[in-house]
Amino acid sequence: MEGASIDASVRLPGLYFAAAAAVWLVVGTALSVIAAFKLHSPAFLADCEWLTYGRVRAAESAVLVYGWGFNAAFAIAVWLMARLAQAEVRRPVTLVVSGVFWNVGVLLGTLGILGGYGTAVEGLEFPAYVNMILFAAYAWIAIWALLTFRARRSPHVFISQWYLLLALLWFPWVFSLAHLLLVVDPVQGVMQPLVQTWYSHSLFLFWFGGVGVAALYYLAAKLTGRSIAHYHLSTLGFWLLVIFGGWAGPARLVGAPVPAWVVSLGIAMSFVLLVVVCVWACNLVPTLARASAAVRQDVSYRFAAVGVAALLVAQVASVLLSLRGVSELLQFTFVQSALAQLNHYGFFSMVAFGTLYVMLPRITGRSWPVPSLVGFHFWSSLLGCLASVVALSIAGYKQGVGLNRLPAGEGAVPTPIIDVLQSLQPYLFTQTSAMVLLVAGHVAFLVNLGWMAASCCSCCSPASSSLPNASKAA
Amino acid sequence: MNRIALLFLGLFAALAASWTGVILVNQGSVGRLARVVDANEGVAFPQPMPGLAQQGHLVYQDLGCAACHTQQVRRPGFGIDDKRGWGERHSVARDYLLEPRVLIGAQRIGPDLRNVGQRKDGQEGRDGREWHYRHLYDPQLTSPGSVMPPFRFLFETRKIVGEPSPKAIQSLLPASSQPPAGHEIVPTVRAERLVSYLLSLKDSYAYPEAANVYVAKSESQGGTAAEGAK
Repeated sequence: MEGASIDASVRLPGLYFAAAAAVWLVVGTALSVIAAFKLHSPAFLADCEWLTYGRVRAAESAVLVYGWGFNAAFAIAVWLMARLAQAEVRRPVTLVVSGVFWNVGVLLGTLGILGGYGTAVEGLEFPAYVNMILFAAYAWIAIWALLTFRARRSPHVFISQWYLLLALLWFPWVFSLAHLLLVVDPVQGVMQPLVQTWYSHSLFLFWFGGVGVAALYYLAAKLTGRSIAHYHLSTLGFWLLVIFGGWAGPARLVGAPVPAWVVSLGIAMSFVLLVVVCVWACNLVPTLARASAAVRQDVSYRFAAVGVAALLVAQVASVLLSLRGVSELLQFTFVQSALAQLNHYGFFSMVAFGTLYVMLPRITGRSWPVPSLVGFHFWSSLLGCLASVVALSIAGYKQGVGLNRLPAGEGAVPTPIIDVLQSLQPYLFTQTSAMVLLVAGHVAFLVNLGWMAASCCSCCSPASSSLPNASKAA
Repeated sequence: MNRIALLFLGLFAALAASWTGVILVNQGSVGRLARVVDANEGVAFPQPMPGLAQQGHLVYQDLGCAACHTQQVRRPGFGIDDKRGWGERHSVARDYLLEPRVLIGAQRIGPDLRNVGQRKDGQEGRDGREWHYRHLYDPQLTSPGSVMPPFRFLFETRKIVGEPSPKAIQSLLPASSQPPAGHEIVPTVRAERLVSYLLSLKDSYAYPEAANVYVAKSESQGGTAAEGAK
């Protein structure tokens, strides 16, 4: 089976999911700008109920997760599965139909949140009815990916496929269980935050983590043209993640009114995940480090390298933040937002960009129409993400000290919370600027992608398996 | 890496194990907590929220208030929630027993609201209701420098027809916020529900499981556990 015919079979669903992801990415980060701006200018759009801070924050989170994140993950999962299985995707139109249902669900859900019908459950913010649509659409997409896996011609199942199977099989279980226990028939009392953290942790570790790490293994080997360093360790990392990862979620509930043992167990399991981080580092860092000078100029390589760095830092940081002493100071602060940004944007989004920059020219047979926009996208994403994470981390630390430490001196009283928040204004303003930079980069990505899709659709020629050089523009 | 059956089985077993350990085991213990019947008062705690407050809980939920406010008071020695006066005691699992959606929150851009009903009790008359209306209409009136947005869409400026409404709040507002002549500013029914909910937020009952920490806090303030329990 030739790579060209495999790529051609993914063209329609791949382009559709990538385009939908890019649109949601622009919408999501635009909502991020509004939310960030409101933090230092609370009167901004205050009279518009649909855009009040709480709703914008929830909508932003849901759009970036279910709009951008899932569409990008679908595109990557379907393409990687077909490529690694050396099997064509049969009847790709059905994937597009499922994708349309998925995106209609995301649109209805976003409007529902902005209209005041959100659930206020972190990670499951959409109104209840939307979850049904999402589940049905997801099931169809996942089944199609699994059928492609079943039709594999390659005798060897690569570690990337293991991670993809982990993501595809784990998500529907945690999603449906969380939906039942939090939305349909909510469990009693503090069981709700417990189920919620179990779900959101699984979502990021197994779904986004699964697809992201699968893509990283693939990119590292493909771009450098070398086999993965210490490949034999990858199985150990995989199974440690699968066995212990699901238990680590409650670590973020330190100090909450939930049973202490489940939090302590979560912290202990977080430490086990450090071994997984070491395995990823042993596999990915040396492999990427062996790239030639020419490969290092490739934008996909750069995105992948940033993604690996963010993955390793974010995982270590999340373990440190689960420690009770650290948590006492930094829980409920912007440091948690910085960590989420590092995880979802620094790791997953960067890896998704890197993969899409490799994938889209292959499946369309077209080069990126404006190479300079590719470079702009990379640098704006990198600088925007970096500025955002640093600003939020400093703001969060100052917030934690202000909220949780008494000023020095005998008989000192706590610093008023208004003063604490006022002292964060320069950092929050930096965060807004960083978000604006991200939006600019995402618009550049969307324009380039739209142009490529238009030229592909206007002249539908067989896809080329050669990698155009335009992606080396960065 | 070609044993697919083993992979599928392993994934399912790991998922089932974490589900059992994190969710199912706790559902059998903390998920089955019951209310405490106080023999002296002849009342079971926690008590259900009044109907209006329950509707206000939905307004709190739909406006996304939990994006900035937590509802969990951390124990003394773990942060300084007690010194900030955010509660007489730390929050315990039983406090949340009757809440249809538990919104403990994850970010403190504003203060913890678990006991805001108690903090504002008796403030500015009418059990703190007027303070909340002013605060929601324009947070700068009650908390200058606050980053909380105004929620003026929860209020209606309308022409006075016949007698002025007893619920009108313009007398609480400064001259710059006064409505045109012949008009009044009244809270919408959603504002009334939201404020009723906020005023219902008070965890004052000392459950047995909160007793140890409660005694320690009372000693530091020169009081006793028995006094605090009342």
